[in-house]
Amino acid sequence: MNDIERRVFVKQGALALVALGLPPDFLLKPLLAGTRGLARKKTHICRLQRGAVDGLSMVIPFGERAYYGSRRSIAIQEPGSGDGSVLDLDGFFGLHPALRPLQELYGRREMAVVHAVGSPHPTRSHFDAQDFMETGTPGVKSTSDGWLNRVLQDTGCADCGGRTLGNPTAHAADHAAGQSSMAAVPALRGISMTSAFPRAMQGDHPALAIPDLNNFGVRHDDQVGSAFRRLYRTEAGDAVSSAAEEAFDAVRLLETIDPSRYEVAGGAEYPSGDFGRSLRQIAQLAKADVGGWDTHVRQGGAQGRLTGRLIQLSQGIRALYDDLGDLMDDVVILTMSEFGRTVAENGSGGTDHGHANCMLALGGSVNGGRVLGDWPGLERERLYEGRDLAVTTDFRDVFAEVVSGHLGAEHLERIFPEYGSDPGRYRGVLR
Amino acid sequence: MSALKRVTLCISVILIPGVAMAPPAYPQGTQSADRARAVHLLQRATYGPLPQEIEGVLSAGIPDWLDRQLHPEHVDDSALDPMLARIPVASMSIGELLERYPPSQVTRSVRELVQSDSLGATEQRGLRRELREHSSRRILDGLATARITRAVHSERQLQEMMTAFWFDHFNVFWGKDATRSLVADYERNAIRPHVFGKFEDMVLATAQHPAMLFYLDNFQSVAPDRSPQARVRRDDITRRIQRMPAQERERAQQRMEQQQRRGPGGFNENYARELMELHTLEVDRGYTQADVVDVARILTGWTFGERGSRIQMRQAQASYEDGHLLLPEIDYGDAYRFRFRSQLHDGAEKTVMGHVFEAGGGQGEGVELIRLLAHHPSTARHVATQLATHFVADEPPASLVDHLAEVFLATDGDLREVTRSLFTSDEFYDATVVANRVKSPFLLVASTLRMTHGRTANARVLMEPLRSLGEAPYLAEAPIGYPETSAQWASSGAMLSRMNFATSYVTGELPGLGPDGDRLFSEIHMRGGEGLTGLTEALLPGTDASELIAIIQEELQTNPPASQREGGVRALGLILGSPEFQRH
Repeated sequence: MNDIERRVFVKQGALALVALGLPPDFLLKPLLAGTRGLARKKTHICRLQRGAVDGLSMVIPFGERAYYGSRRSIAIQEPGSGDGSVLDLDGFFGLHPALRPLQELYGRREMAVVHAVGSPHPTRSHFDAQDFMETGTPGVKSTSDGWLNRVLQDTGCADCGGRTLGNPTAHAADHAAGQSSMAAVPALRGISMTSAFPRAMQGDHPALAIPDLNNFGVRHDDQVGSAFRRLYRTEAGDAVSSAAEEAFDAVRLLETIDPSRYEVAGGAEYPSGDFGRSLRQIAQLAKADVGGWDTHVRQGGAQGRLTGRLIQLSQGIRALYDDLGDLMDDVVILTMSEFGRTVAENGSGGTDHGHANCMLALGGSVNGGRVLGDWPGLERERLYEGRDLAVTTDFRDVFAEVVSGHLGAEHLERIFPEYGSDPGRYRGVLR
Repeated sequence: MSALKRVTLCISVILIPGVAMAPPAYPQGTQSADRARAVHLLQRATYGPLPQEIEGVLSAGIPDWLDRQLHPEHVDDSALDPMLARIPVASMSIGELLERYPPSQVTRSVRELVQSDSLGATEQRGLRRELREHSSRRILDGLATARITRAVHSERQLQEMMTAFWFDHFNVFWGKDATRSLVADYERNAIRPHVFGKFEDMVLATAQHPAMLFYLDNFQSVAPDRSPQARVRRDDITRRIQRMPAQERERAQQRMEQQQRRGPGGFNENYARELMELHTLEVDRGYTQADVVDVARILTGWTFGERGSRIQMRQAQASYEDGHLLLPEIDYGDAYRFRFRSQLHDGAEKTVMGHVFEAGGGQGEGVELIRLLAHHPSTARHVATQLATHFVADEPPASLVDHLAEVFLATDGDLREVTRSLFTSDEFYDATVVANRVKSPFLLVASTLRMTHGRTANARVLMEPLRSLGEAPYLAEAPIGYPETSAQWASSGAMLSRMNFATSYVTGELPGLGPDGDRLFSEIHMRGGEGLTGLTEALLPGTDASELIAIIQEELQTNPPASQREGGVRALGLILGSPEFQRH
């Protein structure tokens, strides 16, 4: 729809930031493969970069003089100035050199960038901003569930003609009696690779948290497992028991997928080692995201702390991408972070809490090879509160486009209450 | 192993149907209401309601028992000393820790040597072992062992509970570089002595502790025009501009002016923001970005030690001599001592939430600021809400929060009185509150050991299960620490990890750890308890465990264990992994 418009955008009002992320990466292929014969499963991977990544270092507006003026020690050299210079995307924006594995995906038009995206709420608190990004209701603290959970509720079960899961337990029983699709365990529709549920996944639809791939299952023998199963069944209805029951159901289903037949396709290079280790690494990557982006001190330029993080991120995504191969046609990956960081570097070679950020969208159905959104500019008078990148795209517009266009969600007014969905605001992330 | 065998012998009785259902060992009626209150108090204020502790509360009465716990210096804890003495890290100073577990730069060349092929296999193995012994990872092992040992064995249970709570409130992350050597001292001197003291003192102690100064970067936050780098940079640029051709000179001059306009760059607002948001006022309490900036300016110059001694410390190199690792002798002593450096301080006037700090306030204005924040009504509410959430209910009764906030303000932030009010309030003992929380992972692990008289010498191996359960002590990376609400711990994956933990603990899979079945069962016996009923009464006091008992019995009949030992271990594991044991 709208490629980034270089016209200078007059700042109006306030905006804050957004994003969210959960990585159900590793189960993806077996699940997709296992259900291929039944129906094509659309999958959405959110990777939340908690701690507020410096978006101006991920996707760099090297065409802005003010970028170099504001970041004396941490700016990345213009494209073509040797090792560690910006990887040019379109003559104005470029990728951090650590994101080289993603450059090719951009070239294949399978990765798009949305820049100056964020939340309309001005908070610079990590915890509030993450909350708002995960509930999808900026400024409203009383929202009890996450928008991803509302997406699960709304998209219901494709195997049942799209009806929503009014009563997940009954629904699960229906399936358990009949078919063995993954919808038989509704919790498998939403997976978070964390030990506690992220806010975005909390809500009425069952979902699964898998903190540790190797430890997911009841160890020892079936007898211990079945005894625990019975213990937890006696208390149906409370949080502890329903969490345990979902886990048992998921374990049973996962056991039917034979991991030994799952081989890495496409010569994927995970950050290191064999596939089993790779899965662990992805899980670790997910865990390592907590706080690691909060670069108040010596974040570095082409080399340094942030670079190490970005290498992990880009290699992890690229490895997953290559491994899934043409299954990526059914997957959309979004990266997101609660807000951006100050345009100017601070006194310690780092950046403080800012406002707008950038998001990456990847997948076969992404309308890639473009930097989307309105670019507000980095001249001081164009900055939000005189110091931060202004928000010109509400993060909900990106989420809404993906969940409606890709996942087929219909009731966006329920998923994003009091905001809803206006396709006129979509940035054209999807083909 | 032998303890496990004994567990079995005692539990074997449960395998015979009918025998196990002994009548409850405790009387009913009004006394049972008192007992229920005592159990509830111990479930929340300690790491597990041991039977003898229940009796202790009943005989002293709740107010007196609580009063003793609120004065830990009056509680004899000498049995703990020999256990802590075996964990050197627990008592080592920052300097001693740095000396014994030096920063990684110090051992770099020796580690490179180990990687190379220049050593023989035996020498290499020996050096590797020595490096491991001096690795900072050992600090974390020691800290974790001490935290668990105290939780399980200390008689000063409430002090341990509150130390963990306030550590999390003023969280620092062990994994951030220099913090490794600082966390032990931080807990020992900035947190523990203040948990029943004045809140203001704890804020000040954390603000001036190198662990916090380092973790949230304040140690290098300096007034913009005072930063040596800024001065050098400015002079350098001015010289370069003067050498430029005239037509370029003008543009460069403009650019420099533009940069000077872009505002202050010398300070770092990381700590200032969290001080207000997490430590005192809470977010959205009427302060603005401008207030955050001025708090940061007030705290410029709050730093530590001699930069020179830290540089010297990093430059020092360990060596390999005569087949051994030789650590350099450095005086680490002052590298991390709190200092106010006035030459780095922003001396101009500041305003925080309408309160004017006049120019030239020096270090004193930072103390004044902390006093202002620590006594603010928003802080009182914040602290009250956190305590009520953590110790009472995820959505605490408003009346309780109001009451605790009032006590906080009326007592000048006296945490002893606030804590006392918390555990004596009607709301705390309300029926809807009892057993309504899911144990946090640390509480689950600690209560498992405490209730089964588990050994703790090798407690460091518990870090792995704690990590997988989601609450490894000292490893919360974000300044907000671990979740306060209990609902967040009840996720599906974590539930499996809990069951697996119970099973591996009782089967002896965790090396050096396991229940002391001998003691557990002789105590049950002495109280007149028997079999599975006695066991559930000991581990789940005040809980109706009839269904649990029935299922375990049925299970053992349906799947007869190969041996008595196996049956006993399975029963204990099922109780510790049961939904009842996950709540408190």
